[in-house]
Amino acid sequence: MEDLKSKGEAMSLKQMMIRFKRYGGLLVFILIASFLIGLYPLTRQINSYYSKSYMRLLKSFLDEVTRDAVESGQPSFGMVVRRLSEGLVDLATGVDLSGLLSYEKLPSIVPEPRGLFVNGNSTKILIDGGSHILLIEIPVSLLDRMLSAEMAYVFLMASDGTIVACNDLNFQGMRISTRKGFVRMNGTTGFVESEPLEHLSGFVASFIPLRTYFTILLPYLLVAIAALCGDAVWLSLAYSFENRLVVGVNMVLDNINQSLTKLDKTDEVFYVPLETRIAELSQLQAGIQKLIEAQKASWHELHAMMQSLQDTVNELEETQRTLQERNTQIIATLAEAIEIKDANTLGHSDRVVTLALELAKEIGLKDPADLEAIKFGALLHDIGKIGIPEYILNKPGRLTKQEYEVMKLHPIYGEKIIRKISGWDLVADIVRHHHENFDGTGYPDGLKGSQISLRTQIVSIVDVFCALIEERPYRPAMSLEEALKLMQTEMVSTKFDPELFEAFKRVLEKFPRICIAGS
Amino acid sequence: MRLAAFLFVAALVLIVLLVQVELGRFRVLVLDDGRTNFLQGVESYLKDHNLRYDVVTVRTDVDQAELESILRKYQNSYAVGPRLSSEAQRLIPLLEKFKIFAIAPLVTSYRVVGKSSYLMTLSPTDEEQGRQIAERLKVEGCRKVLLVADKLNPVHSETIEESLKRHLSVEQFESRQIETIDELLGEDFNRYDGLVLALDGRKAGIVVQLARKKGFSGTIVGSDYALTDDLTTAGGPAVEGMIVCCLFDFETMLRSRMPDMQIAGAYDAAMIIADLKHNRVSQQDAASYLRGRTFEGVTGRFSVTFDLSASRNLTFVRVKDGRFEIER
Repeated sequence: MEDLKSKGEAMSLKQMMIRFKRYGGLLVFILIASFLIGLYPLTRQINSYYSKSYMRLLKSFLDEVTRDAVESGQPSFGMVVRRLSEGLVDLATGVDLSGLLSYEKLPSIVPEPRGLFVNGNSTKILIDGGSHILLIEIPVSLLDRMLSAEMAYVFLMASDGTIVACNDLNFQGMRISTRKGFVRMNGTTGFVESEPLEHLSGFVASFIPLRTYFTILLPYLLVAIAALCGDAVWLSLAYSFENRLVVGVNMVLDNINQSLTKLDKTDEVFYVPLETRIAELSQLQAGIQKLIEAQKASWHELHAMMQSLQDTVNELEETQRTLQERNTQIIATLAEAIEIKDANTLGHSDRVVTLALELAKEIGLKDPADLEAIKFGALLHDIGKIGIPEYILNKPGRLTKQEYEVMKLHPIYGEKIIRKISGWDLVADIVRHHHENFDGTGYPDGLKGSQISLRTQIVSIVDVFCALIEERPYRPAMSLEEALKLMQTEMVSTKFDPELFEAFKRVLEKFPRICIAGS
Repeated sequence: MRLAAFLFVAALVLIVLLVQVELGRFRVLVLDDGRTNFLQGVESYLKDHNLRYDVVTVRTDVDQAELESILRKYQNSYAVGPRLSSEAQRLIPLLEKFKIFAIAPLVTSYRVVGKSSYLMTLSPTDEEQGRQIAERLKVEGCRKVLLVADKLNPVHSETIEESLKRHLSVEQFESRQIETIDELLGEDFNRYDGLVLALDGRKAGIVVQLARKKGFSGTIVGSDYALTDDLTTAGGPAVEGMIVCCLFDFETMLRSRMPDMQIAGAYDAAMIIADLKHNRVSQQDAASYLRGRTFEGVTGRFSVTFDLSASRNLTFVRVKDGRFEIER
């Protein structure tokens, strides 16, 4: 990955293939261009070699033959030399040859390939012999023997383009243009090039057949074709590879994506590898298959662990419920124990609980911690009475000052008991301060106003109300109206918050039955 | 790798085919010894009928090994030529070997005509020609006859000589077979009143000039061999009045504006080859296809006989004002 990042962004397969093919096409272009560039000088070299060498050879041959004929007058190599008159009459036989021979100026090549005094074809040259004209007749077979015709042909042409001598008899007598270029002669296509003779009215020309070019250029052509074939194979492989790879990769990716999508929903996934002709893709699929199987195994393990955890949670919840029930039972038992000890307050705590919770709802308390604190605070607000002697608790008449001072200790005792229960701080607060007054005249800490928690004020107002409507040894139970009137006139703003009292009255209107003592 | 090998071999095969087959055009060979106008006749026919055949000249005046190597390249072809019976005799084994069906318009010797199913002629045989010439000499009242024949065409020379000997009834008959004109420098032509020339037109013209210079004033008759434009070109005024045997219908030749026997013969040979190609007749079957068929060409109307010669009427022409005219 580090390497890839350092070299730039990774390429897609398609981009790689486009680049691959682009390089292949460029290589084809370069090969063809190189081939053509190389072909040109080679072809020129072939032309130059055969044209110049063959034509030079023919010219020197002609020069030598005519010089020998003029100087020695002795024919050789089957040549015939005749002396003619100005009127082209053969001096030896007297035969008039003017019908067969003609010239414009001497020396001249006669544009007639058929032999006169030579059997077969001949080249006839008329030259000035002083008092007569010399007719030199050279058998064409002589030229054929002198110059090989394996790779190229050399022509001796009269001024009208008639071939009068050639190293291949098949071209004898034909007429060609003296311009250079490709021509087709006698079933053979080739390149012809000619040049005029210096001392004779006529031309020498060379004709290089295409097969000569092929023969000489064959190694070059083979190498070029091999290179082109190689490049064609490269491109072909690229196209084939592209098809196989892109199609194969797409199919495999689709297959993997489908399997992974299913794996998100269910563990019932089986990855079936696709058959490809690319070994790496098969290996990749095998790896993916192993990963999916491993994923499935992990999924199963996790599922089992979660199930086990859920079971544990359920057990814990069950245990917690049981413990809560026991706590509640214990607390209820404690409250009941207080009520049993203080015979005057039987049923008091339950009543306080009910009304306190209703009042809390009325003023909008919804926090479960507050409600729980109110519930247990209301239930156990007098738990400290356990530490108060029974004679004080159950004294039929008014308590003495000392007795009252002892009695005022019960919120402190209760707070001490409750504080030991972990997480019951709010309950302890209610228990300690449920006898505090709004104007700060309460006990044990003389808190006032907002120093007293709303939870405590709720329990406090309900506790007072319930105490008023309950019978006491030292007085009879008041009616609801009497209790409210008393509270309104003597306790609102001093003992209770007026707003809270108004809310309490609304609660009592809604639930009048709760107000019946002992119900 | 297999694809690369295939492409490489295919390219090589293509190159070889291009070189060897040269695009597979239909090919007509012209069997030439450097002294014929066959090419002109063939090209005229192709041009007149807008045919695009590949015409290839093959020289027959080369050694046998070279000729064989050349003809090997052109197996299963049709050919026009050769010019001479002697050349035909040498060629027959090669024609048969390479299955080349040749139409030699002017080959007349019975030593070659009918000897192969790969060679046909458009002419009657020398036997008939000899008989006709003998009759013509008799009509002209010739009693002492000299035959000058071409040593380089021995087959025609010998068969003409044999035929003349068979049909002539004269006091004296002699023959000379020559290679060059110089061999007749010592000949006394005045001893004869009839001169028969079995030479090509050029040589015949020169011999006639020589004979006239030596005072010969008798009747001169040329075989079909001499009936070319070269006769009048080489002979000039000396050949005026000379009679020449024409194997073809000369009247039709003149009407077709083809007075040259080689050109006219090659023209009709090309006509027959075009017919064979048109009817997809192979070289092996050409002989059986042609036997008994009648053609109408620039050489006149003729039928192909069982021995692959032509059945037609001989005519004689006479040189008049440098041209050939039909001898009535």
